[in-house]
Amino acid sequence: MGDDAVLVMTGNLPGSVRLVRAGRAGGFVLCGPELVVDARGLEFIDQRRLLVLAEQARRTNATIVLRTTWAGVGRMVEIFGVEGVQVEPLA
Amino acid sequence: MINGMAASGCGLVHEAAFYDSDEQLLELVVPFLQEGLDASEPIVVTLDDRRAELVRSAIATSPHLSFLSVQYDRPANVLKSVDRLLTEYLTEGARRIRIVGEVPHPGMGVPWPWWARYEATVNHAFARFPLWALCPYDRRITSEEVLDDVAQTHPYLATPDGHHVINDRYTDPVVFLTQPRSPLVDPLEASPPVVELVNPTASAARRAVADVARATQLSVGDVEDLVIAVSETVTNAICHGHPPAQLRIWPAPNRIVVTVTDQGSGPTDPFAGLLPAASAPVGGLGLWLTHQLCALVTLEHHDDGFTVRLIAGYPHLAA
Repeated sequence: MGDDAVLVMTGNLPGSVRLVRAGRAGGFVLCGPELVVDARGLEFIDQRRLLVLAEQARRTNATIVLRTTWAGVGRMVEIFGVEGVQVEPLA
Repeated sequence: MINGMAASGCGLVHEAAFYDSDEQLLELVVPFLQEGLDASEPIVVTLDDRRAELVRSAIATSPHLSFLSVQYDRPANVLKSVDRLLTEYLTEGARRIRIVGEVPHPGMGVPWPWWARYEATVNHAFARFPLWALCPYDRRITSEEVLDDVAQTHPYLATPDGHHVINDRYTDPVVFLTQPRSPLVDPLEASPPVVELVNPTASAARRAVADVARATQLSVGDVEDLVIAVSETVTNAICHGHPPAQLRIWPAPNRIVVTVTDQGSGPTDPFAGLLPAASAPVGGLGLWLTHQLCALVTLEHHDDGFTVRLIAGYPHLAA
């Protein structure tokens, strides 16, 4: 996990994603201005779950930062103009 | 003649114009632009490089006049971008905005079905904007089928002699979009698919597409986009359609054709895929997403159910 990541997302969403240290998907509590997610193991997230994340960020006035090697999530964030979710591509 | 239309500045004017020569194109477009410049209206021109240069050389430069080099790529993208652009102009105080845009069709190397839907959808999507949109079509390269659709999707017509007339062939967009149309079937579909799955999970569908794509020349980005689109479409078939859902895949070196069929009646929204569903719950945006990820998406309602056809790469043009 990255030094400043507080959460790890891995696998496929929906499906077998695990949010390490945070219980089930979507069940975590945002309590700071930024939640950095180590999502290098993320293989897929569908638009429903992405928008749930965005809604969670909006409600808490926070930003979720997804660090991931999977470019697809960046494409969806761009297309939906999602606010509250940032994607940091990893090589 | 509808002179009042030009002066009113309120509401949408969606106008087609047909031309047979470069001279006629200029006769249609230059006075339209000049009127807008005289009224200090923001104007956006989207033509191919040659036509844009032709027009540019015939009109004075102005901070109100923009030539966009970005061509029309995918209808849902264009509808979204234009909506954003119009909203920005209104926020800045514009009373009317003019757009000149040549919509792609097979004469320009682009499949027509979803651009026909686009032209109809413009009348609904931009009805709230003070927009005058002029859509020139070069008759030398435009098929009769396309011209027929253009005639049904534009409430007004402009003529090279400077007239603007009400188009009595205009058809309400909901009626146009719900008319039965001949399906655009890719020639690859004449052969058995290389993959056929019944009631696949979304993850199984994603794996199947990724596996098939390895034998093609598609870019990584195109394949990733198709994988997302197929996943969303299969999810929709599972969640909103009636079983069984069937996934079929046909690859070629330059494209992949995927169909997802279920036994349901498909979406009832005539603008499905081109506009985000305004009342959609979370999860109701998958079809809109697929329309922005694929090189072509067609929706086919038929007696046996509903089929979404997704194509990545270079779609085959209808004969």
